[in-house]
Amino acid sequence: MKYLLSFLMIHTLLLAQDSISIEDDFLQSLEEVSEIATKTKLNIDDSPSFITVLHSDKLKKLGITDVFEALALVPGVQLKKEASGVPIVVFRGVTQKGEVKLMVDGITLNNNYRGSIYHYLDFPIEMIKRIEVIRGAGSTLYGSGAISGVINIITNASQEEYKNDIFLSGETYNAYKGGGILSTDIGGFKLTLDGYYQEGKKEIEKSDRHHKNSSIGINLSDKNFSFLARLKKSDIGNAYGILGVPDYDKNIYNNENNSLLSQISYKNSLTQNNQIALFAGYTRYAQYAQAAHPSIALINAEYKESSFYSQIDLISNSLENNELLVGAKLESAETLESSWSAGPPYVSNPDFSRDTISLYLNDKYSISNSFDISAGLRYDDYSDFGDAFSPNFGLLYRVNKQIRLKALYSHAFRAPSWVELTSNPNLQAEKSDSIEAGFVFKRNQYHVLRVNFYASQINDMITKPEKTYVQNATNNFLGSEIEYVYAPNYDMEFNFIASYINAQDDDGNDLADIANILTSASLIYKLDSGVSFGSLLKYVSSSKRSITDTRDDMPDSLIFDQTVSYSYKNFTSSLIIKDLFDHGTFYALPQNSTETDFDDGGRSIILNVAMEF
Amino acid sequence: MKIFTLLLLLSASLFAVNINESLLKIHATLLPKISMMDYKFEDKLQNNAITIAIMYKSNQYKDAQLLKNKIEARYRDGIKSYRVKPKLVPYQDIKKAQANIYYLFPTNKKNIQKTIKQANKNSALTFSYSEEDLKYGVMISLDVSKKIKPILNLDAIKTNEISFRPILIDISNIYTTSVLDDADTSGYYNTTQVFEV
Repeated sequence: MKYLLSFLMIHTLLLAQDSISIEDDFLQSLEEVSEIATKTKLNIDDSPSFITVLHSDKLKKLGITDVFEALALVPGVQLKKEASGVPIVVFRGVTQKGEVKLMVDGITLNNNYRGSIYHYLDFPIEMIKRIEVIRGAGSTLYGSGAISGVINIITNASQEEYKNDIFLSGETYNAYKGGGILSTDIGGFKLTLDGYYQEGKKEIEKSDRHHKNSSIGINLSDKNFSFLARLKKSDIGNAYGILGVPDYDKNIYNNENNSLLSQISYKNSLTQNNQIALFAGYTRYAQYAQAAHPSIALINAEYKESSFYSQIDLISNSLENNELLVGAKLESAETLESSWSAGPPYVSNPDFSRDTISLYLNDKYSISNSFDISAGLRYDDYSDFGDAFSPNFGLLYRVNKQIRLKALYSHAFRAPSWVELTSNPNLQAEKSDSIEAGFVFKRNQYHVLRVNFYASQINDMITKPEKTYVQNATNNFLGSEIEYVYAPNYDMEFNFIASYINAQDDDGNDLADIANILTSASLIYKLDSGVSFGSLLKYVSSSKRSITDTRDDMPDSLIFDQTVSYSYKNFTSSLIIKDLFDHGTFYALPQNSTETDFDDGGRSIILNVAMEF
Repeated sequence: MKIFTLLLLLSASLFAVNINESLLKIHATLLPKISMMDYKFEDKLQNNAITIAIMYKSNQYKDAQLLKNKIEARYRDGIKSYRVKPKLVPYQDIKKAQANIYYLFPTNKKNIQKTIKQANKNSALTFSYSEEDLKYGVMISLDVSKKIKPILNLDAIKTNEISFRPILIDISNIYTTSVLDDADTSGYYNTTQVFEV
């Protein structure tokens, strides 16, 4: 009898152990998926920041082809092009010259040379899983350059899932594109290789808008370890011409940008509530530019820089209701090569090195189920110009299941670029202060409304009124952004975004070429047959010239794109008609140009096919 | 052009949101583990495998395949001593589907009810991508907020005599169909409400 009782007790204990184990396992999985939700920005409405996430599946259905086009669907973002054809993203009225931070799979792309990011804006949507965008400042976590926005491009290759596909597309203007991704398992590691090539020979009124770009990437990862590397090459024509003078010989113009991003990382749990993440990376950037200029003769420019960094992040949930991040980053960058064969005398060769030490901490504290506060502070010490502190403070209040109220204060900075420091070694960091407030109303999953207001000021702006960079301007920005999503069922989604932007200099004059109103409306609907329709309407209001510019205002624009896609099993094809009504896209030329604005083309037709296997 | 745009917007109401891949990853992680929270799950297994029927409409094939791949990648070695076996089942083939848990991609009321009926026949769980489907009798969905929490339709669970481990009830939001005095009087929330417990 005793043996029977003992057996039963042991058996019961073992069962109890098993029961506890299943329950603990489930609770751990819930923690894990909550982290996935945060990492993939599923719960953006529970963050004090104002975030937009663009998913490539949806972007493809709307006929979006690259990162530049996708950013038009972010509230407060205006797309522009320089006369040289270089694309620019204007966040909340700030014409980016390094004030927007761009990352690819979390690796910073902005170079020290000019802070430029444009050479990745042509990255095709087929290579991307999603684009995460923080509207507004983000220097506490992301450092220099995160003044008006932070963009993180998440590639398909960086994902845990195995993916194999190929894509091909052809377009008017003799453009075509092809690429693919391949994943396999090697000794418990997931190995992914991806790549693409695209080329176009667009010409408008003999102006050269050719583009030729390509990339290859590798990702090797397991649960804790990850190595990723990406090479990208981008070559564009000079459009209207550089330095405001029409180009007279398209055959000798070239603007080629090459970049290498690589990073090795290791993430693991130290204890149940503490995690560590270690990163080490090497990046390299090179530009080869050649231009014909009637008064300066031929310009040949070559520039190369490289950067090493290491970073450690500690994430702790040990304190009840707190999520604490403490981190440090060391970075060392240097110019490898810098030469100009000719050019204006005020352009000189940057030849620099820069060591940076960054320390940061950020804590999210849940006072109750409905009230979170977050606070952070970052310190950056630069060897070449000085240091910067970047604090932020945010509040989130959940009024009920449907309504969230948010408020955020951020101080951010941009380190002067090496081109700017070469021109004027006394430059310090540009600094900004921003306050934002907003609400999210989710009536149910069919209706979501997000509204926010912001006011920001950039002090010590670095500008180049004539031949030397100076730092004596202040710009003020006020605005509001609205996002509305209506999804009555899972086969249809309607999105409407609208932004009001008031961007002024310290004398109260409107900043040149900044549209006050930006709106877009998109509609995706799918039929059971596999056919889907995507319609996109974009409106950009007129914008003022600078006060000394006597030309009329830059006119408004209305562009409509229509896409029809068909999916059968693993095969998808789509027909995209950009600018269906052929209204044309125009960009402003600099003051004193011989022409008013330049035309970037009208209607175009694209045919895509893709297959997963 | 304005008329053309307006027509497009109006015609859209005749058709039927996009499936979020990150949410599928979360579902792939939790689906087998939720089925193990049923006290009697072991008795319901066939060949020691947790079978997940992924119910989809024809235009959801890629999403369904994606979920299946995610479950297979995550549970290649199974859980504990159990295998995890996801299978794709078009809604029209529901009557042939034997499973321990039925996952429902968004569909119409009729397909949901047919799936629930089949699940009941097999004493199986039902889990929906959309929490809106709880009102038709689906047992489980997820609330994605600051933290991920299951939402349990206790009425549906009791009706089918499913007995969950208490921890699941403790941490979940409970969905009921009772009318609340202070509830919104228009639309979905006048007859249904999700409570945090």
